[in-house]
Amino acid sequence: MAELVLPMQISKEALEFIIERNGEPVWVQELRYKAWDVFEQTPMPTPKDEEWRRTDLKAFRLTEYLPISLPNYDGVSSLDVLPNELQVFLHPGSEEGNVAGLLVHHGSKAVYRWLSDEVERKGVIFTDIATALREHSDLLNGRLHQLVLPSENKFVALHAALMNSGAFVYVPPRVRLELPLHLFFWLDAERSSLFDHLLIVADRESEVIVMAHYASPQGEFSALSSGAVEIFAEPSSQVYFISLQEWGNRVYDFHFVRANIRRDAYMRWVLTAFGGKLWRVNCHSKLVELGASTDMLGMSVGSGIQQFDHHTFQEHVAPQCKSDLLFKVVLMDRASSIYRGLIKVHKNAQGTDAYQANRNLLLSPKAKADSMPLLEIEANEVRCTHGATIGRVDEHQLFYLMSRGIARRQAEKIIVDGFLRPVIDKVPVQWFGEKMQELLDAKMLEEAKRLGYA
Amino acid sequence: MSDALEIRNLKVAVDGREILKGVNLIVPKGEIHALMGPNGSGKSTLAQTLLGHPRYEVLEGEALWKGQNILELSPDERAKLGLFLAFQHPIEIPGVILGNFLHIAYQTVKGVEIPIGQFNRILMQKMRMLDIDPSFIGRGLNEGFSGGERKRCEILQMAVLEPEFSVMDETDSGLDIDGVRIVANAVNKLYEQSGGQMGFLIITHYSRILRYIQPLHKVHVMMDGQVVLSSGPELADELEEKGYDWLEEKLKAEGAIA
Repeated sequence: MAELVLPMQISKEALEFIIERNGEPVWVQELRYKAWDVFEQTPMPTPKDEEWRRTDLKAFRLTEYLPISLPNYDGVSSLDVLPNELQVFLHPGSEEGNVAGLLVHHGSKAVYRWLSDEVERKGVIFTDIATALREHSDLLNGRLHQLVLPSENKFVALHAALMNSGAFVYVPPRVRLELPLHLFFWLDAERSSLFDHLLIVADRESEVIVMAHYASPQGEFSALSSGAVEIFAEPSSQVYFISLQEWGNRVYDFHFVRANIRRDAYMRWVLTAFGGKLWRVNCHSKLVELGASTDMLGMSVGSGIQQFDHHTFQEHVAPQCKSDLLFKVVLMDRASSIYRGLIKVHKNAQGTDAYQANRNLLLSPKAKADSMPLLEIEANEVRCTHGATIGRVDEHQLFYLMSRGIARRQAEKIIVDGFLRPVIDKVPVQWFGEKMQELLDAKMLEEAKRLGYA
Repeated sequence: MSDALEIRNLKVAVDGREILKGVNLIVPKGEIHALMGPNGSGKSTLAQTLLGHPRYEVLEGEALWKGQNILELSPDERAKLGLFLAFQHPIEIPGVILGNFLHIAYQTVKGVEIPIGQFNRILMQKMRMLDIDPSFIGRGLNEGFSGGERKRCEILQMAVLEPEFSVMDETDSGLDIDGVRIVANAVNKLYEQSGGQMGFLIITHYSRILRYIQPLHKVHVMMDGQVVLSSGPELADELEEKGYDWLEEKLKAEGAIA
């Protein structure tokens, strides 16, 4: 095989490079080429597109990004030999005994994989996406990109064409994993791209927690991430997907996450974001059979000029399903947030119980939030409620805490912690929730320092 | 410097409207005083002003405590000087766990560091003393609390933070007679535990709580933004019997108020 030349631009050559490098089956190649065509034919979204009306892409240039980044070492068999800057994110918590499996990506390369013997013996598949496409093609064919469709917009098309990383999880019927599967992505090549795809199949009556953790250097570092998550929650399964995004403040991230939830199955999302210049997430729970339910939680904490853009979709296709959504946003400095959430109840979905809440807490006069709840109800026996609030720290609450001896900044911090607690409490893995709390503490401390309070 | 809370000619406005029109009041340390008065007379304005609610604008006057005009301090600084306010309407702060919050408050007010385990033992002991359910510790601060629970939570905070001087703003309002008794007993206990060193200003509309307070040193009456009468504890019973209108007319006849 001729030496492969790493492509330097987002291009069809990059697509061919990835296919060749991974040795992918024909159906995947076809999927990629088709997606590439969509990508080329679709114009870049502009403020004229309703869904992108308030998303600021003025400074964004696709041509500035490399399609793939590969560190100059091969996979390792021990966490200890990973580069130091990467290891710090993996302690504590990611070691054996705390997780059922761990998959580490450095750039587009899966560099470390571990799955406990016990879990492997139960038939659980947990592997990087390139390996999965070669070895489990039959399980992926008919599922990959069947929920997140390359035709839906330019970024998904780009993602599907240049998918360069990710994981496949399969949990057999009745297998319940007590410990989580942990995915860690470290992106450190300047101007590189991460197009990670996570495909999760939880078979009947199975239970699984998947945690996806994204990090990069802070400061001047720029990169592009466009990931997709597809979750198949088969009947009576329980799936927890928890994501933690702590990119540097110049990274653009466009994420599309979707679950197909079948009879009596339960799906919980907890999507948390601290980093990025732009974090745009589309989260969709599709309740397709009787008795399916979902909790959708989000937490975004912004400072500087960070922009968070949340799009949620609670789709009730079948009767007697339940969805409960809570997205909480804290904004400092000039950070901004958009929330656009749709509850759709199809004609057949009688007995729907849907709730949606978006709560925004502004900690500075220049922070800005927008909230647009939307309802589309075609059935008549439903219970749908939604609420949106945008507010500042309550003066009465502050006074109450201060009257107990607590200084203003600390009182404000206590109120913010309390505000976000209902989301962090929904993280089923304690140490991962604690990591989120630490990031929140650090981010608020940094802001206090900037303002000269600490 | 005198060992008392001393309020001198205090004038306070809310949203530009003058509510306190020159309040003069002295409560020495080690004494329990009641401040009574009809609705709208300015009692709660005085309470909130003493701890520094930002909505209340001090126009004139001072409040001296430990040689300082506390009106110039932020609310947390006042708390660190040993002052406490039991709120008439305790504020709900969702997601803030009562035990954690009190742990932080305890450390800042006392200026000590104490591990959470050790603090929880103190907290449990106070809860036993006040007959409060231990499950309170893990609940959100006043989150979903009934009116009675909120008042008890105020008393618990006071017991834990052990202030030198406590202003209690209609803690008895909205409580049934058992609730009122619990509050009064707590005041008596804390006073006793302080070796008679603590000061209280108990603000109330009704005299029923005062019947259980031991010892009650003085009763003041506030009308239209001023303290118009100060007397012994017997005044509380007289007011209960004859009402504020009686007093107002009496004072008018005496030329004490306009």
